[in-house]
Amino acid sequence: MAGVELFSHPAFRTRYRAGLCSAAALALLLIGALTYVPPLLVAYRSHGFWLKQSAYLEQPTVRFRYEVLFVATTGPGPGSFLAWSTFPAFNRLQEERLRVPLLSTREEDKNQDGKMDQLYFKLELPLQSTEHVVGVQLILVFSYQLHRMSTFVMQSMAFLQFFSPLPGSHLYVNGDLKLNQRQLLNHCGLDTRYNVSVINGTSPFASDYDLTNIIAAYQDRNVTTVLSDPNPVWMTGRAADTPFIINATIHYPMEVILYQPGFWEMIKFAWIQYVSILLIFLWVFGRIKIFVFQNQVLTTTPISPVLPVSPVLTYKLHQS
Amino acid sequence: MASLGVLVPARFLALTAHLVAVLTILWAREPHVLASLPLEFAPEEYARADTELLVALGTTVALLALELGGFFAGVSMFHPPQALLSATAHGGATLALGFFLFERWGCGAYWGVLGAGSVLPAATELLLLVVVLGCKRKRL
Repeated sequence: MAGVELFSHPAFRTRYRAGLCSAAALALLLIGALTYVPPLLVAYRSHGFWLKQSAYLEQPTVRFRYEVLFVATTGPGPGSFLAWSTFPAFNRLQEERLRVPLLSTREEDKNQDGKMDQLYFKLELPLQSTEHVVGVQLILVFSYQLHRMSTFVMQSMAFLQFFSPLPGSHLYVNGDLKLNQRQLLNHCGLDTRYNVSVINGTSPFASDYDLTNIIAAYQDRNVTTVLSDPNPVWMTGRAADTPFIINATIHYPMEVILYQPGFWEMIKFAWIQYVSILLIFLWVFGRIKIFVFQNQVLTTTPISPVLPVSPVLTYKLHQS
Repeated sequence: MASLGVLVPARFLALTAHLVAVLTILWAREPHVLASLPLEFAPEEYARADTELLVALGTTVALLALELGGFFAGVSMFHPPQALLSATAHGGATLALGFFLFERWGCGAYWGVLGAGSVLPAATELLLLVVVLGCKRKRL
């Protein structure tokens, strides 16, 4: 028999043969291409075929590092401020402007899940009766960790600044320590790029403690934290010989973290999309193929199998 | 032939659907012309891109007219392989133009759709016309 078997279907028990260079073979090739290529084009051109970014929810493991840099402005003059930090080198540079506050902090795990949920921070700055605080700049340093996808470890800060035309007695702040991402995080591995000090506490140079330089270096990072919605409440009317008080509550909220999916996650989503569209094409072109060969739209040689003859039929034939 | 009962209406529907899609794009060319231009462009550039799309759409309509002519005149109406090729090509082209409309593709993408969806079946139709009318043969 000339040609090769091009098509057969178990339901119809007929095989269709034709030459390799026949129209039927060409049509079969074309149908094959039309079945498998267009689903790919449809999936790709309707966007989102390759998963470029994804997101997950995680509460970070945040701990306050007990590193503080505090500057209280007491007047409009260039040298009228009081400062203190947890860095001895900075304190040495302040000389007579150094004022040691009373500090009390407490971190609380409200839902007992092993991760801290908020920080209570209280700073009492003793003042003389002639001194008045009109502005506050405060840096708190945190250790910030994410574990669910990649292990991301960094030292981050919360910067708080408030100025008022009226001298204050009390500043109340309540906000969230939010993650600020300029770049997608990895899906696996250990990321310690930013596990470096926000403030170089060992440096003897004044420039290393300049707020402008600290913030400039910090903002160079692609992943930072920021004190969001601090809602500062400035209270005036300080009684003589009472300290200036900063009361801050900083929440460590759940974060939506954007990350770059890995190879298998990308392939998985592409495969799901491709195969689900391919199934429709397979069904449609399967029907077209059956139609074309059954109705001899393109000339082929149908070969029907010789069915095994049953003994009963043989007997009856013999009788007649 | 039993297959013609399916192939003839299928081909007619595919041709009509393609024609409707082309006319829809013809009446709402602006988003596609803008999609194929940079953010800032001169009026001449717009006119050139508009003309390009107009030419492409005009060519499609002409090729469709040729096929519809051959189809209604009976030259290829009872020719199953041509009906199969034409129905598949125009059905595919209609799907692609659906994407073209909804995703606001630029003019460049249209030429690909034109080549595969219109030129291919029109070329075989033309061949049939030449064979049937020119050589006075009943079938290819």
